[in-house]
Amino acid sequence: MTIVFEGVVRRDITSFTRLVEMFDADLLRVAFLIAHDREGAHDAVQATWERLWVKPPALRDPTRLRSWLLTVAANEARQARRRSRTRSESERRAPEPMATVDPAAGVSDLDLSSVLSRQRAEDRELIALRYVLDMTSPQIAAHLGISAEGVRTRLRRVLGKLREELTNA
Amino acid sequence: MPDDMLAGEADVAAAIKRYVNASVAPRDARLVAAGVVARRASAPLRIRPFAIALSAAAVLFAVAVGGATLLTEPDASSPARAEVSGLTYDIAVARSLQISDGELEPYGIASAIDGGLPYDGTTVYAIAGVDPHDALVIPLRPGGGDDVGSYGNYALLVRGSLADVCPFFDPESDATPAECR
Repeated sequence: MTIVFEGVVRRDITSFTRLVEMFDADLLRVAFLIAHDREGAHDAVQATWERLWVKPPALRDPTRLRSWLLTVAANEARQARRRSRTRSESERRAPEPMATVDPAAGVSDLDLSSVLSRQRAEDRELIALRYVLDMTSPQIAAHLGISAEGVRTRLRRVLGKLREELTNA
Repeated sequence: MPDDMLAGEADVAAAIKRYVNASVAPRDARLVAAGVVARRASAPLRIRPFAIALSAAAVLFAVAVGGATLLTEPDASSPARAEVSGLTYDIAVARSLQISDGELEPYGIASAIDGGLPYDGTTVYAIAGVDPHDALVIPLRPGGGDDVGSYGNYALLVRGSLADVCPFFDPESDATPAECR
């Protein structure tokens, strides 16, 4: 990671491409959950990569680059979400979930999309870190700068809310 | 799946992961990277002039310095300032700044700070994605404000370009500079 990051700082395109290869999919999925809009997610991740390329962060520990990328992408996705609220419904390219049902959970994508869109941006970020990136509570705590117990408390609350709203959907 | 799952978490987790994976397809990293490099090569980095909404309180008044409106002390000609790690920063009120704890990293101590704001300690913080040589923040005690409104949770310490700070402003607030809305 250190060598690749130093390559990006030196504006080496090969190193930059390697980082995109490593993290683009994760950033896109996190941004999508937060922005809840495919176009907004792509814009957010594009802005994130541009920021890294134009002005790499002054990281004392290059292994924290993933956390930095996730933080920037999440911020950009929140901005995209706010901007999309000012656009008319017809202009927004909202997700087009298939009306499929997850056999394990009995949950349709349509219901899930609706329930997720009603959650707060901070909770959608937590959902993305936990359920899309498979981060443990200590990992999420280190990333967000809160305690692991704080993460578990938030997860319990968010999970309870999701289950209740999905049951009522 | 993370190895510290809560009871009843697994099925919801699986459904969300499947939904997200089906909604956004992986991309070709070479095309993404090449697109970023090409786009930035044709669009020079813009240093946007920056105006921060300020109070008109009797104790503090503003002077325009390089496009940014900063704090100053009464009967003084220079902006309110802070010194961090040997560098001097101008202090700016930023009412609509929205930053969470996870986006901040302790950077240093303000060894000399004026301006009369209700600073909460002397620790200054770097903002994720922002060059600390351009801008830092210092926490403010809750409840501070003037006739315009609350000072917010943080004051900005400004030394260079503020372009990278724009995403941290509420784009819908009147207190947010026009360039950031």
